[in-house]
Amino acid sequence: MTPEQFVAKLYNASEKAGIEEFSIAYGCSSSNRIDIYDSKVSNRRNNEGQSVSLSVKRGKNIGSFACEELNEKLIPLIITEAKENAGLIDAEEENFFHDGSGEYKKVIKYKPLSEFSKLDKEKYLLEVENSCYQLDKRVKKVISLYIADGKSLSIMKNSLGLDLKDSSEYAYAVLYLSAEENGVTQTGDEIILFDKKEDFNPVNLAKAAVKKAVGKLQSANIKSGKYKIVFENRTFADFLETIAGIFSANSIQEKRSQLVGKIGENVAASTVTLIDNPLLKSGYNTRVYDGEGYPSSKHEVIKDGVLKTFLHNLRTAKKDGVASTGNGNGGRGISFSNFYMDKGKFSKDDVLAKAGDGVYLTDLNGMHAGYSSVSGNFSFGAEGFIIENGKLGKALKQITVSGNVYQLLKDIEALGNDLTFSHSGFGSPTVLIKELAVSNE
Amino acid sequence: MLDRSLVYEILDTALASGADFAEVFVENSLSTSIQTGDRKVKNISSGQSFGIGIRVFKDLFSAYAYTNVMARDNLLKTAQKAAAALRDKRQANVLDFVDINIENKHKIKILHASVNKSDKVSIMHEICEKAYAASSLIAKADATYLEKERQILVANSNGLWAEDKLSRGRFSLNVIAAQNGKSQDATDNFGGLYGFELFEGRDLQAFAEKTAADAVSMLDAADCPSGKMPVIINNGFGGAIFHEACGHGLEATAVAKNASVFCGKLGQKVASGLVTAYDDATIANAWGSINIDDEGIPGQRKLLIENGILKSYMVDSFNARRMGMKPNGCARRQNYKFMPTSRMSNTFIANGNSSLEEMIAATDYGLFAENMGGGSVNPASGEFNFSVNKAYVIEKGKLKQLVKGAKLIGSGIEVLNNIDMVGNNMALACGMCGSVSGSIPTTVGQPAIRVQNITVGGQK
Repeated sequence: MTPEQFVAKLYNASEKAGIEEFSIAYGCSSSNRIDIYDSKVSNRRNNEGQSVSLSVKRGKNIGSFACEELNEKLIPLIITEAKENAGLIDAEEENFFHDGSGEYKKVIKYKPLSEFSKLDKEKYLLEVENSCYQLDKRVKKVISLYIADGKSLSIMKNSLGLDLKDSSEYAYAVLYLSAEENGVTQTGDEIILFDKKEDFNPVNLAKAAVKKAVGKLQSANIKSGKYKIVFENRTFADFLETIAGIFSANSIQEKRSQLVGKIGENVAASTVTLIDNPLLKSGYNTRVYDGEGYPSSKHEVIKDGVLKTFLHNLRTAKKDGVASTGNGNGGRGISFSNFYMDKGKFSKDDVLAKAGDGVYLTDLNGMHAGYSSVSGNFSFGAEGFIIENGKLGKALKQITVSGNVYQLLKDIEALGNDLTFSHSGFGSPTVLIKELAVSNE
Repeated sequence: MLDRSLVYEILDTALASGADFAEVFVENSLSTSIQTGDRKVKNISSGQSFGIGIRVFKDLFSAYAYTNVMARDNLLKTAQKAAAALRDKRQANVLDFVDINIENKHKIKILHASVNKSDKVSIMHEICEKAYAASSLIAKADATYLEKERQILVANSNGLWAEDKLSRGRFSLNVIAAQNGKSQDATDNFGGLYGFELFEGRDLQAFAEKTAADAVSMLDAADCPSGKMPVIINNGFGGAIFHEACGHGLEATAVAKNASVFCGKLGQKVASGLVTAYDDATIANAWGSINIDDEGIPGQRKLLIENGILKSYMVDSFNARRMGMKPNGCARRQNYKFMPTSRMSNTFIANGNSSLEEMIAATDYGLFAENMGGGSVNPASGEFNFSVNKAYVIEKGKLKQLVKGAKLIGSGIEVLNNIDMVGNNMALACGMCGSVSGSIPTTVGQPAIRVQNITVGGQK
């Protein structure tokens, strides 16, 4: 049975079961990966998978059941479970399916350059590995090196007339290595997404990871205390990914964010503009519609320091009396698209010069713990460099950096013009923060 | 789960192009998650997962292919995909299957499926109400309940045939306390290889009150001090320090690639003589326990460190080839979509002699980290971090100011050698551990320990 046939059977069975409102989501994907270790192909993977889920609306609530086995015999179970789940939910706010209305704009999604299909992956990886050892004799071991690529297809169809289909593809290479000097081992990593010509040059991947690892070998200590902090652009993008939930209408309505009731107020420095743009050209999270099938549009969450909107799905939007922002994840939650801090006017060097003396952060560690959106307090492991007289100095081995996210937004003193995106779709320029607590020795 | 003759055929196909070993892993799981908040059921979702992963080895090469399209022709096609990278003549044949006899050490009393979801919801509400009742400052008590039944089959070309079925349940509570415009939250959880009896025989009142009290107390907590100082790390989830500082570095995933600070250190002193530590997958009904690992090898109790001396690594069958060692029953994966590799189960530091009171009394100035969160590690450099949610400053042998969370950072072997007191109150706590083979349930544990000198990253 083809997926389309299964979806049609499930659709008909749901109608027959007397369910008035329901939605079916089908997804399938395939992926490949090739790993190199010690100058040989060490592992190959070749995968495929599919899943289908049925969501059923009963009263105000939606319950769902997801299933990987497209077996006709399971259809009664899928319907019974989804119905039962919906019947037990008793939250007061109403949930909705989207009827397919609104303007579905054309987008240009991220996709690997067509050259990728012609790439000799094994040769590319062997050249990356070799380059690592050639570039710097302190490189100790290429620990992990691989290319992965894949594609996926999704179908969304509901009883209100929504009928959507979307696909995406990706390709990336990952390098993780160690370097050693005088008994000190440090590591460096890098990921590239094959969407630029230079990504196909193996030396570029090698250089980036080697630079990170060897840059940390000669490290210094600083005294614990409060410092001016400059976040490298992609480090602040990672930080944004961790804290973005405070702008989710779901967090607001659940009172897990301190931005409750702050729309129209200054919540950040006046230079700060935060944007969620699912229509961004070639963005890693560019999409025509969200997880609920609602059409995408661009939103300024913070404009010149003023909080303008939270990010909504259909349920949170209805509760707040606004329109969905197209940020539904298909369940109860919020899905960010290309979420970024808009760039400022300074070069990275200018931002460092403005800092004068302080700490430049290149990595944050352990971000899944050490942070609460409720209090806004965070304390993370970090790596970076000392900033002395406006210039980067010695590496800082491992430090902690602590503060409060709601204060940090107000303490942003300057933004670089070097906006960049992490592969998970969060973006930022270089960011200067008035002060954070740093602990080292 | 799959017919033996079909499994045989799959393995035979996978061996056709020169592999010296082939393995089939079939997994069927059913899971439910329920979330309550503001005294209502916010979400219930459930799902089924059924798929197969086929793996082949040829010397130090491995290949993997998975699918969840379970028709015979597609399974054979998937076996061909796994075998496709090799282009040699057949080197091995599938041996006749011999069932390994598995004793179920983790017996379930009340099957998840035998209990109505509404009864599960009731007990969640009941626990939340206890938290609300604990203090007038509780603004919110939200709960999550997860249950999963996982059935696996592992068969390989050496004739192994092993099947197992485990049920897991976990309940977690998050409480928000609010006063004068300030909010703080606290989370606690319990779980294990249980059916619905997960809730039986537990002091749910004390659990809810403790979580509520943690959130309330944090409203008045001061900023945590920064810098290097002695830290007493509490029992239970405090064991996250050993999990990060040492556990990951003893996994063959890192050791086989010379990417761990513990490489080549078997038989050597890597920790204070007070430290003895185990990874024990056999503890009855513990959250991180297994009967067999995801390669079909029975779970074991492994002595990792004895009186500070490194005794063993955790080794899966592929890395065993690189290391010239035997696999020891620790190969795990989130599901069939991941290749298995060496992972922890229930990992803990064993009891020592000191009482917590003695440890505090013996500390002139430092921190008592009472309540811990998760962390991470870079095994190659040994640098790790983990979070403290709630702590007290110790002055002249007494607990003083309550302080907010902070990150503790350090380097594995250095910190292990810095442990100068080990308590006698060992306890285990549930966690989820993420690594190359996905996110899996693991237990951390320890008695309270004192680290003579570790970097504390507070806000002060």
